[in-house]
Amino acid sequence: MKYNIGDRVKLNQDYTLQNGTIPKGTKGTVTKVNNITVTYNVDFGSGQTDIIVPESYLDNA
Amino acid sequence: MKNLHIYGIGYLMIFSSCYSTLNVRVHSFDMAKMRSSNEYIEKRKKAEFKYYQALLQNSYFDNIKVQFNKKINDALLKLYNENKISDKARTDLQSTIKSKVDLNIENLRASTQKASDILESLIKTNSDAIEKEYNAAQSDFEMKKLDLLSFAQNLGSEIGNPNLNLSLYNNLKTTISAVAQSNTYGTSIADDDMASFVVKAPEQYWEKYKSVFYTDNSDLSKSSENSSINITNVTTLIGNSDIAVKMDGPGNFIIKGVRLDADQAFRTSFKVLSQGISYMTGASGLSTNSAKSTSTSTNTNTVTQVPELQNFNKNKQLSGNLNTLFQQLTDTFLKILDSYKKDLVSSDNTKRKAAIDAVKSAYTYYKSQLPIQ
Repeated sequence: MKYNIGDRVKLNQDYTLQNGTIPKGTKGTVTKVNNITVTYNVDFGSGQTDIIVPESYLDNA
Repeated sequence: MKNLHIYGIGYLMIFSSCYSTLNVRVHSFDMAKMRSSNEYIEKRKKAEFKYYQALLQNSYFDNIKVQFNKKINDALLKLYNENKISDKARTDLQSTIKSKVDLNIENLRASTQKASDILESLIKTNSDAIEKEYNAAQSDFEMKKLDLLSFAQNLGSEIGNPNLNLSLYNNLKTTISAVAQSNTYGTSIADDDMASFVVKAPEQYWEKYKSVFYTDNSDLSKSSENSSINITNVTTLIGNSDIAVKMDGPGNFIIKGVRLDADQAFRTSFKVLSQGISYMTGASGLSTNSAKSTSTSTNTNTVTQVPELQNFNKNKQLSGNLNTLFQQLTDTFLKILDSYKKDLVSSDNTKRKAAIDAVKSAYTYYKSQLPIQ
């Protein structure tokens, strides 16, 4: 896994949820590392917490 | 001659009703020795083989796969509906996770098949080399099970803790050792092959060791002493002795209690005493009711030759009346018991005591009205 808890990351593409899209470039903090699914729980702020994002959608912030 | 009769009656009274003795001995069976016996080892191997076969047959692993993946897909859909994951990431994850789940389950299936095959050949050949091979295969099987358990637990926490502990999957949590042990003894004494082994086991399985076996297990020879763990002796001068032995589980018996009941003995004693007096007086040449009936037995009337037929109708009527009375008494007693049902289990001690006293009185009366058997 590339990132650890507490790392700052940013989206490298738009992330479309059911109630809206988090735009490319939005920065957040890794709150949980999911080894099996190769995803991270990311806190993007503004109420968008615990968003599950695949590693391939993220870059270092 | 009269003295002989009197002694005879005395012995008759003593040995027929007034005196009873009960001797219960509980001996300990050498389980450690039994577990090292060929019979036990064979049975246990077969139980383990049966367990592997149960997993391999009936689409067990396929069912786990289906249920596992369904729960995972449901969990991912829930995350999507809660705005925690994108639709594309959800569908991507479904296929990624599915391939990992399938791989874990297939690993376990292969391990199960391997252990089963080696065990089958071990049962046929009983070879030491194959036994070693089987021990390794069995360890691998247990490892693969743990891998799957760990995988399910971690995966669950990553996708919102869906309940991945499926009922089928839960069966894997028991170790094969525990499963085989319970299967070896069977679920009841009827299908417990080891029960017959215990019954037919030679004396040495019931005897003490000669040496201190836990410090020096090189000498496991047996003494001639039985390994008794409980001896219960009950001697009753007047009354009946009952002992309750309970089977807690296969091969596990405990003594629940010993009861002395003089009631029936007194009833029977008086009956025997009455017979004894009749016999004694008859032998002494005195006339009694029964002697009278014997003296009339020379009557040519066929009915009087069979005394039971003489008063048949009268006795039948009496029997019917007694039966009705007995039923009425029983109904009444049960109604009394029913009316005190709540008070008998009440937490109020006064109420409970009053109810117990009332039921006791009712029972004493009920018992006193029963015809003497």
